[in-house]
Amino acid sequence: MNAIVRKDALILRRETLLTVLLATAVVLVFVSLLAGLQRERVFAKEKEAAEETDKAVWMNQGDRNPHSAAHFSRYAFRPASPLALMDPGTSDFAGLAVWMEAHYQDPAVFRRAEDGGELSRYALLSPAFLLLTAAPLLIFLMLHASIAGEREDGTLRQLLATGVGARQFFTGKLGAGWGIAMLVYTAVFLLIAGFSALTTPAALSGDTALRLATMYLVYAAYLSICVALALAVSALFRTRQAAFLALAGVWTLMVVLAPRLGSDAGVAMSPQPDARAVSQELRAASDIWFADKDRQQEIQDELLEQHGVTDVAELPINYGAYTLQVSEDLSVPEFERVYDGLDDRYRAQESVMRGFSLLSPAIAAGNLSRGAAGTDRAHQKAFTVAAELHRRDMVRLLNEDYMYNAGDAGSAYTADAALWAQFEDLDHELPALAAIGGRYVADAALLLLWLAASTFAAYASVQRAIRHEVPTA
Amino acid sequence: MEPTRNLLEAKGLGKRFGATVAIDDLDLAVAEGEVVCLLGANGAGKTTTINLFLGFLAPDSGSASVDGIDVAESPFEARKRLAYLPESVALYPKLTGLENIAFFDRLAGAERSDAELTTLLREAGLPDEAHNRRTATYSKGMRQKVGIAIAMARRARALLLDEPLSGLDPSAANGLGKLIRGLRDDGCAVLMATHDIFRAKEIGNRIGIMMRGKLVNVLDADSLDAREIEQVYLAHLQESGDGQAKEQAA
Repeated sequence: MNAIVRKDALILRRETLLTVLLATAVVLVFVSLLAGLQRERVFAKEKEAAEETDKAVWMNQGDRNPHSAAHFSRYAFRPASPLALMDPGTSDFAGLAVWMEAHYQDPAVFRRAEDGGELSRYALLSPAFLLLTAAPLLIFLMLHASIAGEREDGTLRQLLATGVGARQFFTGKLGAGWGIAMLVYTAVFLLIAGFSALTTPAALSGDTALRLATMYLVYAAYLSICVALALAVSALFRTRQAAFLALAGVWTLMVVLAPRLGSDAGVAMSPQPDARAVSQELRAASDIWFADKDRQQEIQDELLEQHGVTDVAELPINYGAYTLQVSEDLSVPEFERVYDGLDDRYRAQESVMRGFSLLSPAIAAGNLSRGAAGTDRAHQKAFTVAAELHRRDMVRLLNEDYMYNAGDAGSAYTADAALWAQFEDLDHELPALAAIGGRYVADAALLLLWLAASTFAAYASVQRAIRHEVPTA
Repeated sequence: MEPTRNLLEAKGLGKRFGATVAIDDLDLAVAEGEVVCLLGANGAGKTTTINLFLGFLAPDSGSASVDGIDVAESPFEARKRLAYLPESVALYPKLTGLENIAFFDRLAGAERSDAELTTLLREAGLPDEAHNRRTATYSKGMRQKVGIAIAMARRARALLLDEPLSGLDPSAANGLGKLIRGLRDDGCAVLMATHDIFRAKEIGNRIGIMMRGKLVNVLDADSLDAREIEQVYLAHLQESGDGQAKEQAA
C-alpha cells in the first residue's frame, strides 16, 4: 500500500474529535433508521386499515344503481417503497391515496406532512438526508488539514525532498481520504441496508436489489466528490484554519444555498397555478359533455341510426348509462391536458433545479437517490397514472353493467355485491428501475461530471501547492 | 578515508532573484567521505545553494549534479540519491518517532522491520523511551536526531544539511556533530550550511566561505585551527565591507 495512504490513515485514526464525530454520525444514522421505521410502520398500518375499511364499505354498500356506486366509489392507495426507510424523498409531501370517482380525476390526497403535526419535521432525519448533508461536513472535517496541514508543518517540503512527485503525493492523499471515507460509508450503508432488510417484510426482489446498488453507487460517487473537493481546497491554503473555513463555505453553498436557490428559481421561473384554478379546469373538463347540448344530440342521432331505431326507448341498451360512459370518454383527454400541463410545470421547475447542480452535486445526488428509492415525483406520477387508469376501468365496468343489464328497470336498476366484487383493488407496483432509468441520465451525467471535475481540480490544486513549495516541480 | 568520487558538484552555478544575485558562478565539489561546510552570514547564499542541489530552485546558469545526475534535468532522480536535513526537521506530530522513520523508510521503497528502525534511532542518539512517543512531545534536538535517522535509513550517499545545529543545546549539537562525522566516515558526501565556525571546523574537512552569493575561499579544516579560520572569515567580511555580516559573525 502507498506509504502516504498508510501514514494518513494512521494519523486520521488518531484524531479524537473525528472519532467522536463519526460515532455521533453513526448514532444519528441509527436514530434516523428507527424514526423511519416507526414512520413506515405507522404508514403501513394506517394504509392496511384504510384499505380494509374502504373495501368493506365498498362491498357492503348494498344493492344500488351501478352509476350511483361509481359516485360512491373507492380509494387507490400508493404502495410503500421498500427503500423509503432510507430515503423518504417526497413521500411525506405527496398524496397517499387517490379517490376514484365517476366524472372526475381527483388529485392524490392525504399528505403526511399536513397530517403529521410539528413533530413530523423530525422524520426528515433520514439516512439519505444525513448522507447528503452531514457526511460531506464530516469529510471536510476529516480532510481539511490533509494538505494544508503538511504545508503548515513543513512536512510537504520534507516529503518533496525525498523525491516524491505530484502524482505520488496526490494518489496517496486521495487514496487515504477516499479509502477511509468509503470504508466508513460502506459499513454505514450495510448497516442501513441490513436494518431495512430485517425490518421490511417483503423479500428482496431483483428490482429492489438494483435500486439498492444504485443508491450505494450514487452516494459513493457523491462522497468521492466531497473527498476530491476537500483535497482541492486543502491544497489551496497554507494553514489548517484557512482551509477549514473555506470548506465550511463550500459546504454551505453545496448543501444549503444551492438547493434553496435552485428550488426558489424553479418556482419563480415556472410558477404552478393555484389549486383553485386547477380545480376549476378539472370541473370544466368533467362537465364537457353536460354543457354541450349539440354534441349530445349528435351522439344520440348517431346511436339511433346505428341501431336503426328512432327513439332511445327502442335501443337494446340503456341510453342514460351510454351517455354516462360517453361523457367519461370525452373528459379523459381534458383531464390529461390539465394534469400534463401541471406535470410540464413541475418538470420545468426540476430542470431549473437540475441546472443548479452545476453549483452543487448534492442536487443531482439527491435526485438520483430519490429515484432509486422510488420516492420521487416520477414514481408518484406513475402511481397517479395507474390510479386514473384503474378509475376508468372501474367506471367503465359499472357503466357497462348498467348499460347492458338495466333493461326495463331503467334508472331503478340495481346491482349487488357480485358486481362490486369484480372491481379489484389497485395492484400498483413501483415501475422497474431498469425500465425508467432513462429519466435519470441527466442527473447521473451531472454527478459524473462533478466527479471528473473535482478530481481534476484536486490534482491541479495539489500541483499548484507543490509548485508553491518547490517552484521547479 | 581519502576523497575519491564527487557526489555533489556545482559548475558555474548561478541564481538571481530579480536584481539580486543570490549565487554567482559557484564551482564546488563534495566527494564521498567528505564534509564541506558552507560558512557565511544570512543572505550569503548557503541555503540557496542547498535548494539548487535539491532542485527546489532552478539555476539561471551552470548546473548542480548529484552522483552525476543533473538536478535541473532529473530532479526526482537526483532527490532519490539525497538526504536533506533542514534547520528544523518537520515530523508528523501525531506519529511516534518510530512511525515517522517507518513512513520515510516505506516512502523510499524499503520495508525495514521495527527492530532495524529502532537500531537506526538508537544510532542517531534518540533515547529508547522516546521511540514510541508521539513526536509532538519531542525537543528540537530529538527531532533533528530522528531527521538524521531518516537520512541514514534512506542510505543516501549525499547529505544536504541546512543549519542542522542551529538552536540546539551544546550537548545535542555535539551528539549530532558526531553522527555527521560518522556518516562521513561511512563514505557519505555531506554539504552543510552553518553560521558556526567552531562546529564547521569540528565537523568539516573543508570550509567554504560565502559572501553575497560567491564562494570566496575554501579552507582546509584539518590544517587550520578555529581561531585561524575565524580570522580568515573576518578578513573576508572586512574586504567585502559587509557590516551586517560582520555584526553577525561577531
